Amino acid sequence: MFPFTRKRKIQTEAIKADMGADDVKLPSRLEEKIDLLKPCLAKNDDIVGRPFYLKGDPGLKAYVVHLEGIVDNISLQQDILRSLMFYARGEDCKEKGLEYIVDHIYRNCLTVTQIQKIGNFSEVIRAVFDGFVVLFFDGISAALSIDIRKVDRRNVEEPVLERALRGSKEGFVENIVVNTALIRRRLKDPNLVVKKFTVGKRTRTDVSLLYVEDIADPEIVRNVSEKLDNIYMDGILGTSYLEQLIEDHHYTPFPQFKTTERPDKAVMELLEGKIIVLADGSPDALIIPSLFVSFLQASEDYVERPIISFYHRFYRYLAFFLAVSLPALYIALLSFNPELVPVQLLISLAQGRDKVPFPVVLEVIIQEIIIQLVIETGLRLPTPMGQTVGVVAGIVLGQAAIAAGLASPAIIIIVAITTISTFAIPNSTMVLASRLVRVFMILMAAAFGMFGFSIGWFLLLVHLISLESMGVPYMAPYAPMRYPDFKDAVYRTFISQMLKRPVSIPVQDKVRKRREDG
Amino acid sequence: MDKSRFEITSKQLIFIIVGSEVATGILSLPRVLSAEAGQHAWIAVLTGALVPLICIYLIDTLYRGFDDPDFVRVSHALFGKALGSLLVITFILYIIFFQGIVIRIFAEITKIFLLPRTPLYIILFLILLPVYYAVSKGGRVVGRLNEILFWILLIDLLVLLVLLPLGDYTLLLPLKDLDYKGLLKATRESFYSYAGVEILLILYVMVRKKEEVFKAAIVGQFIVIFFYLVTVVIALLIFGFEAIQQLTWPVLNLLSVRHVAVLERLEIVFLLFWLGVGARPAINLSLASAYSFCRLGRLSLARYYVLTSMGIALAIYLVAIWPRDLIEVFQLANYAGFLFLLTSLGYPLLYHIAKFMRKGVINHGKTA
Repeated sequence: MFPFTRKRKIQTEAIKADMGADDVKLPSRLEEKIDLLKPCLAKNDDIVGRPFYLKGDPGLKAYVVHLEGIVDNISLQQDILRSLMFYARGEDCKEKGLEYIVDHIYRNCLTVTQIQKIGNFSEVIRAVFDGFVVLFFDGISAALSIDIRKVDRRNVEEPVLERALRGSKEGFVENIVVNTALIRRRLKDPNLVVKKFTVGKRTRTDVSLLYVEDIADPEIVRNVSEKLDNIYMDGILGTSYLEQLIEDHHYTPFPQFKTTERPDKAVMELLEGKIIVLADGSPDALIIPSLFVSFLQASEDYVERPIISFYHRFYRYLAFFLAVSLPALYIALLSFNPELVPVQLLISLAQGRDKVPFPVVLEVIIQEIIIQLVIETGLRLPTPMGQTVGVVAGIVLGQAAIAAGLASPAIIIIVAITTISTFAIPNSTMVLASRLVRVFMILMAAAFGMFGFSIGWFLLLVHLISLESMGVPYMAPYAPMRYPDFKDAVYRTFISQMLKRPVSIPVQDKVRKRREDG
Repeated sequence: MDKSRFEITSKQLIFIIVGSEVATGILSLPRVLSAEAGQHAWIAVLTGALVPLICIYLIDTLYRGFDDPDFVRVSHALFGKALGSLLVITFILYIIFFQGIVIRIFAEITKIFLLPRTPLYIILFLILLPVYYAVSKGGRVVGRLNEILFWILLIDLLVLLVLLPLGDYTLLLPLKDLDYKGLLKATRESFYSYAGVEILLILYVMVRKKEEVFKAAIVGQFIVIFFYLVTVVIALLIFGFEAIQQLTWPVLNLLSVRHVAVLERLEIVFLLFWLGVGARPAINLSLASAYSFCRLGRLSLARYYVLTSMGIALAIYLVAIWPRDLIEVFQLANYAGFLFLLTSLGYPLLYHIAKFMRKGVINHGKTA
């Protein structure tokens, strides 16, 4: 443990040293400032520098530096250069001193909102590479950094992975500002807090932490903030990186934080007292903490009628069970405990396997490998080709394998049902987890039959119970039992009856709606 | 692994008490009791329940005076370092011995019904694998596990209740010819089926709200009594006490009474769920012993607990593999039952006496 922490400490110091290496105060003469910047300008052709004069008699020499393509050119020309060159009045400064001009420009000339005064060279470099416009003036050591970033972004579209028949059709995009706005627009509560972080030494990714102040548990908020602060990585490319860096348990196939592509879902989670983490560049939000049951819930559950939702939810539980255990059950029943199968069924299964030269285990594993390859191929290929592969794999491999005596009809059905069940699980990470656990179950059943299967499930249960998501038991409300939460776990009750927030998630304000509120 | 990993709620204590007591013993309970008491076997379930109830009462009153009711600390305070440690070690050894027997019986049943051709040492290993895994995760996880496994036990019980309409109530009659001698013998046998309640001696300290311990333990105990009562009564109703004597595990035979469509052999399905019940006492008691061992050796829980739990599992494995055959296992089970009486009644009584004698010497709570 200790060598690891030491390594991290060294790493941290290295990063800090990196940052502060060129930290000098800006000189007041413009030429000197430009000289300081020169090495940067020479290396990068996409940095634009332009000297100009402020309006006045005599005009003050100034210089503007910015990155090409990131800055909004129209705004730069109209709101900054135009106002400075035509309307800034240098005369006022003669009386009040040169240093006054920065404040004067800030108050009277620039018609943009986000401006900051900076004084160190490292800050200038950081501002330029973050995409700000930086203004220098002759004779004044302070510089102004102005935020007029304009990033070309995708339109808000329907989410790909979490499509819903009813309900909102808006999904998150790659831009964190838009995503935050999408949430704000749905949750107008002044208690919604948006806390910003910059994570990643080199990528300097914007990360936002969102929570409702009077609902969310302060302990969890503090915990997450601390963890975000302590991330030392050179590159954070989206929420999936954050997820891996802040989770409690690494040695598990199960995802501990759920992600969502839907702003309405994110708002719902915020109202339950959870925390949302957004990262620039990823079109999804991280929900902290997340429970195992929430991975089997879909957003339609709350849009459709409760009785129907209950019925659908039952199928998702069933899908998880089948996805994990159907091939294992087939092996165990056929090669270890045929006495559990009704005789008629057993005979027909045995007839189907008549021409197959492999033991059941091998047959299952071969089919499992084939189907995994088909899925992998289908994922990477463009849609029309993927469909062709699907058809080829489904019909040719399936039908031909039976005809060639390489597989029995039953195993094709088993594998097909398993694969379909796998994709009935609403969360994509949980789908991957279930595929891995299935292999474990197959091996247990292949070695020890039904008893091995039983042991496998027991181990899986213990593993799931031992997991925690940011300190919250993963298997709640089942273990520990939280009976009030059954109304949204086992079944889904009427929205009018969900008067209290889930007990499984620690919150400050337990009551969602008081009866007298109507 | 910090100390909060060993905290359990009083609700979880209910299920831990149930889980520690109900094990493979329940499968043969109707035979054992009715061998002595005939159709009055069910009365023995009730009279035998006195032992665990007294045990719970004694343990609760014993710890009432202590701020930190830790088994190891209290032992040291009352008996001194050497004798206190000896008592704790004996208790740990007893747990290992007892659970070795329990696991062995479970493995034997598995071998007969599920894996006839697999060698016993592999079955034992298979059973101890989840036991070790669960124990190594600490008390909080074991507490949660007990909560969820309780419902599996309940499913098993419901399966038995399905048989109720098939029973013949005249098999419980006549009520009046009570053979007191036989009943006494049966009562002694039924004591043993409540083994596991002594876990409270160690788990007391882990419960978050100490004032709820007594209530929770008693509730758990009554659930156990109810389970036993239902099982014994149904077995008697279906088979009658004479026929039961021919069956080693009458409860498993009960399940083959009724034919259920598709599920051809109900007792095997029952046994698959049984893993959660049969291995549970071993999980709970191993947790207790591994925890005490770490406390006794002043070993840091973070570093040595997982290692200790592995050691305990290994020790249980060695005990379980030791007896040659099932007959020897049942003989050893009798000794274990006797040891249970010693630990569940003897230990608390001994501690009470020591506490009484040292009353003037020890300042409660500030014991070193």
